[in-house]
Amino acid sequence: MPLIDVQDVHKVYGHRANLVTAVAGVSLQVLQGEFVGIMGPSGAGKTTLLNLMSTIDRPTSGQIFLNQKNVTYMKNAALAKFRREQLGFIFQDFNLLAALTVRENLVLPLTLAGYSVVAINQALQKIVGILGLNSLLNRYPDDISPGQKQRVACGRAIITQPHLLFADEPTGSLDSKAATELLRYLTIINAKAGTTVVMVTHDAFTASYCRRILFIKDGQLFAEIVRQGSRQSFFQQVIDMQATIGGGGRTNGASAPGF
Amino acid sequence: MVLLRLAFKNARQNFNRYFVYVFACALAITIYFAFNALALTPYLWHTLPDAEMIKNGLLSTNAFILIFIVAFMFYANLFFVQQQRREIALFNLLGVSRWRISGYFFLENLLLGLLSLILGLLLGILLAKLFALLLVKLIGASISVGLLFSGAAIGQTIGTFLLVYIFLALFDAGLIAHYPLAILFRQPVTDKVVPITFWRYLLGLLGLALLASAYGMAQFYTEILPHFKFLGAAAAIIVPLLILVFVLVGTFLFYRFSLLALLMQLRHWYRFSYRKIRLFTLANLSQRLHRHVNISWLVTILAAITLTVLGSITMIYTASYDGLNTDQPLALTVDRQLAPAVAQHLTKHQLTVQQKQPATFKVTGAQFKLDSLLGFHYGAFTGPLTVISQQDYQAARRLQPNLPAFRLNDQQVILLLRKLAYAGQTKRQQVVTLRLTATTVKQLKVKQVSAAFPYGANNYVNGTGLVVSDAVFQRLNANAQTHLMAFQFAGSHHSEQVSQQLIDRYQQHYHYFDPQKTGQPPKNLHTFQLSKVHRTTAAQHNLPMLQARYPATRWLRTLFGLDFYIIGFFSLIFIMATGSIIMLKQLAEASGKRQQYALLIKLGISQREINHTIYLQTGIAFLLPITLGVINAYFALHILNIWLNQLDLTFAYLLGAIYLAVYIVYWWLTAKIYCRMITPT
Repeated sequence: MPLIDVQDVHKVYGHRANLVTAVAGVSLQVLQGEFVGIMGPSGAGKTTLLNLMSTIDRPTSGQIFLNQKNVTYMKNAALAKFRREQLGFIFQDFNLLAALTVRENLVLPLTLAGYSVVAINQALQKIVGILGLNSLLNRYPDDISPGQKQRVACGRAIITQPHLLFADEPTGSLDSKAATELLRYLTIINAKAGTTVVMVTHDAFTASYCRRILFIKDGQLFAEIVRQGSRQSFFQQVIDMQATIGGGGRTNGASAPGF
Repeated sequence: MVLLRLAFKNARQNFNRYFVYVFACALAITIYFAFNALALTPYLWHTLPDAEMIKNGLLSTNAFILIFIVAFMFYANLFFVQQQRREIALFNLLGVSRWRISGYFFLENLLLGLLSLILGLLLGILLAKLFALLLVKLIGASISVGLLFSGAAIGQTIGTFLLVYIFLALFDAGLIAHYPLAILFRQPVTDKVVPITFWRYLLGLLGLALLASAYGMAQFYTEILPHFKFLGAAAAIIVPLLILVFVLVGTFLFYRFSLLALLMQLRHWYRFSYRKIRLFTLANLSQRLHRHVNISWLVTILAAITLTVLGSITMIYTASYDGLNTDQPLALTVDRQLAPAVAQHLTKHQLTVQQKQPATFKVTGAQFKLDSLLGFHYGAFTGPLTVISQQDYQAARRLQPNLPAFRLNDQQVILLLRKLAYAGQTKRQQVVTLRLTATTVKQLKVKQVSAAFPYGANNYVNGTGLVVSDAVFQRLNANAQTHLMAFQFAGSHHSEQVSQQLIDRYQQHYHYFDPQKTGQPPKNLHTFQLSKVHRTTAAQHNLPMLQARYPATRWLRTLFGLDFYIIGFFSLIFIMATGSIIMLKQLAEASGKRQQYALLIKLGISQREINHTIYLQTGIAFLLPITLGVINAYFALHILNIWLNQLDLTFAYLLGAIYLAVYIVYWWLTAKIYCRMITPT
């Protein structure tokens, strides 16, 4: 049974005179425990697809099932509850609340879900242990480094032990060391806790941590590669696929700097 | 031309932001214009004896209103420039010169100013008659109000505000021209976290302690005052001043530190804060309140001051009325030698005298000591006073049914004190012995102290009197003796006019009691020998031969009616202006917070919960200052009430309710716009 089942989803923006198709008939499935990457040139519709899968946005047509539940027509309040309980998010710009301390940012999803103080503190201790955030708990986001911020964001995403973790360019604002560290954490979460991870990125190195990568171009699925050998060889495969997409004669901006 | 179009377009686009400002300005201009129109329409008031007072009252209030509006406009404009700094920087980067940008802002300001001026004037012209009717009603005058269209008032209002707008626009333009580009591009920090240090906690505690002790001192004012006896009579002024300083400083510290510390404590109290969206609400609230420290303080203090002034005016009004009832309860009291002429005048003007009553007064020197509630109202009394017989007292009860009844023996007196009417009840009163300078009656015991004067305290020397038994009165060889005739008739505009004519005719007629010092006075006391001398020298003690009640009632009515009117409208301007500022400040941060709320939606918070927290936060920002203002006013009035002893707070309550209602409308409007601004499209 797939955890995510996307069936012929379209997303069209704009008004009659000026319609933009961001996603044009995508169908895909993600199984429980997978670590899936979504790649593609700028404007290909990666983030739109992620937003649709994560219930932040609604498709113009088509259907999306999460954990066998059709979320396409769910009411807003029910969707909010579903997101709160089942999903976790990591963003490129961290999206931490500046007014809250690290501790408060971390526990926020649990307070929203109505956990008891004891349960919240237990969960907090566990996450802090995994991500090494102990010394940062009483600091404010503005006082810590980007790498630390992303670790906090990651902690906030996984503290509810979600079935599904969505990451939108999580390493976009990090240096290589912090990026590697974060990807290592994501791998651990995926492997040990069995959390399914769906990650949008245009960086080949980041993508090489995934087990499977879906390539999108002009709002449609273009190709799919699955990691079989080492990470290095997978990285090479990703680079090749990016070259293939770029070779179509379109300018792909940051995703294919060499072309 | 391009500049004008751009300015026009921008003003239209930002109308949401500007509309509250324009509305508040327009309303202030309406009131300004209406006051001007009322003051500058001579036909309205020329029949009233107090026309000058009304005119001057309105015009001087207008000066205050103008100062307040200008301050409000400057504040709002500074704020608008702050808000548009990125646009300014962008224009500048695109190569538009600073002076051109300034010109554009100048035009935009002028457009907004003209809009509010036109709106305000139109409203003013439409409502001027209503303003006049309200004032006529409040001062109880009988004037028919026709159409109020004063060209002078229109010209004056337009001239004044055009000048203000031009000055304001030039100020803005100058400000923009001197902004460094780098500063303009810097994003204004709205998310700044204020760390709570040890000192801030301490200052927060100090704020709470100051407020608590000020409230405590006010509540138990009479109990704590004796502890400040070492300050002497000044204690009655110093202690309230101390309370005032405590409140001013305490309120500021409360907003600046105590609130932050309190919210931080709540955040650390996990059982409370780990609930739904509370952590976020508490953190946001502390940021928001921290940004509003100055305006919150100002609103609190201004609200407290206006409510206190209003409350005290009602108190003074009631007290003055009671004072008048003590001083001159009867329509006319005249010396018996003037009585025939006065009676003739009354008949001539067809005034029906309901009752007439003669009385005899004796004046003698007396000495007594009295302790009163606060220790400083009364001390030792030495000087002349007026004595009346029990028989005349009983006769007066026919005219003044509220005079208490009593029986006296030959050793007893009733002591009449005018100050009692103002000073509150005497407590812990021991038996007072009274010594007289008369040779035939040397000493008497005070049976009762009263503020109810037969024929009115105005007819008593020193505002002090004695009621003695008829036998003692007969025996008393006084220094002077007067005969009085009291007339009682109903109050009306006609009787006011006739009384005023009599006052004008006889205002030079006085009894003068000339004291002659004998020997050295003991310490600060001095004794008098009195002799009755008519119209000879300017003496230390004198009494008018004719006194009337109704002109004084009219004067009181006019004075206090005008006061209520002025304060009512002035506080309306104040409440609109401060409400607009709080609203603008809150909306300004809304656009910067959009991302935060979008994140909360992603984290699984429903739009309803988000709206709920926004309503809560804006509600606290609006209602906290006004509530604290009301609390401060309550304690201030509590003290005033001890002094004045006449608490009628109907009007103050009404005004407090209006403040609250206006702020609730602002709150609702702000929260609604805020929610719309942060909701993703």
